[in-house]
Amino acid sequence: MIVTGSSTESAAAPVEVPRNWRNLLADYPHFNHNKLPEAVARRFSNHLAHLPKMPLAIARQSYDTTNRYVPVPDEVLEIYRQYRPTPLRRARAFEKALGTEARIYYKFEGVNISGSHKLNTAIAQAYYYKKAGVQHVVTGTGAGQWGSAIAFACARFGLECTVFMPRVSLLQKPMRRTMMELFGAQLHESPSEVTELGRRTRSAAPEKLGSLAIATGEALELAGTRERTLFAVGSGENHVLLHQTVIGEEALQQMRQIGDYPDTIFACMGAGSNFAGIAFPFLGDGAKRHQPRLVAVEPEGCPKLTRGRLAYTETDFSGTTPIARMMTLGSLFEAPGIHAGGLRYHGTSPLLSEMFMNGLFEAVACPQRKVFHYASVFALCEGVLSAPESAHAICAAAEEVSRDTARRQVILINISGMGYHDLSGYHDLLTGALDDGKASDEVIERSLAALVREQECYTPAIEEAVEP
Amino acid sequence: MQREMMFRTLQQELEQLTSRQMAGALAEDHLLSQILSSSGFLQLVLALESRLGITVEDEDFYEAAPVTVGDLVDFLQQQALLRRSKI
Repeated sequence: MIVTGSSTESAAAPVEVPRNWRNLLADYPHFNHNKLPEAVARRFSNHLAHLPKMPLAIARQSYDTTNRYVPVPDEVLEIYRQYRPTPLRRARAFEKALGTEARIYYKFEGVNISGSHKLNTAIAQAYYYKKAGVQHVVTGTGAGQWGSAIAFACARFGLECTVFMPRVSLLQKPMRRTMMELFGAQLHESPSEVTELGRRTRSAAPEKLGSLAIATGEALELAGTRERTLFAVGSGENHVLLHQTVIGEEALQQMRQIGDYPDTIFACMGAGSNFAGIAFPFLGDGAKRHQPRLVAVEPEGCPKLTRGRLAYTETDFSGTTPIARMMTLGSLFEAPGIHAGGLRYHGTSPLLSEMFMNGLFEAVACPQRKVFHYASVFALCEGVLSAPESAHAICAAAEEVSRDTARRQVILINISGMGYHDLSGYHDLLTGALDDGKASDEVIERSLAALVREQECYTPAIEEAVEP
Repeated sequence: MQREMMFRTLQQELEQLTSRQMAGALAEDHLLSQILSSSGFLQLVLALESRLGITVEDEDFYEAAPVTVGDLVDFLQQQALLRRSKI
């Protein structure tokens, strides 16, 4: 393929790093479902099971339905300034390659040491954990982006860090281990021999690929056994979505400076943090010219929005955490071993799930081969190697503009991470070894059937606990 | 605030959070883990902070690690006193 034309353009001058995160829960307080089924608590025999798994300062952010803007602490801002503002560029060569009249912009979050947007919340969380007197942070990571980010953030704030990562992701991205260990974290392949859950899972299915739900369950178990140790999470929770809005707040300024405004925003959807990060500030922009369409892009291997249900389910494999109401394929769903490991989680953030059901954004699913095809075209055109997760957004945007190449629409894509740890996926594309990574109908239907049975168990408690 | 008053405040917030009437059903020795999950408990603590006009410090909270309703009442009383002495 021959790529011609001027490739990119950035905003005219660097914008300020946002001093506030955008709390969309203050705009949509009714989406905060806070009545909890009593029976969930009753299943636990551990007398300390009710104790929060995160610092109170973070919990306050998660349930804040009052403040539209939350100040970024100075210590966090200082580290943000080492890698922010991140570039927002026009993808002129990609536009040309697609033969479209559309103006395509992309925001690139892969320019920090961890290689992805996850550092935005990792820095904030490490700051609050340190302030709360925590010494050791334990977590589960899907593809290693969150694990790398929290490992680095913990190192910056003098915290010990332990990470559980699914076996399949470690096989695909072995250098993630080196990166996390370089930052001083201890990494365990999940399912591991370190926890009861890991040992039980391994013994039941020695060949298990692992999943974020299992890794999270292991992290929760370990956190419960150590002094001054708390669990941290890299996506899905309201406070994580909040911290990621630094992306969209910055993009808003950059688009204004360029003098353009997106008609449609594309971002990939795992549990939802990078999607929320770019989308929330535009959704809550009081000065907006028009409301952009927001499109969440998921893999066909884990189509929780396009084929899932809004239901109460476990957020981790061990059932340690409270159930949550979310768009899900069921906590027992195990996605195929696609390269976009960060999008294999069975559910989406409860807040985003409510927003989706209320029509505030759309969703599409893309097959893996097409995702890598467009990512490789984008790499050649723009000189940016996207992570497979983020490449889903590139794919959906490319498909959209290709349907009507004459349409002069403005597209904004959030590229949440870089793909240098994912070259095995690109290699598979080149050698023809890549498949579409689609979850089979049988697997999805089996998991959804289990989800229906799960609801029947919860229904009496939910009816009792949740106000009509 | 008197201990009994603190207990009643806690009961009211718990009722509001769970949408259940608990009059006479809630006892000091009830295990919090039998009443609320960790998210529910967090929301209870945050609601009580707001009601009592206090901000609970993480270090105090995890050190106290209240197990029963009575433990939580004691903890909140201490926090309220601490807050008053700081003022």
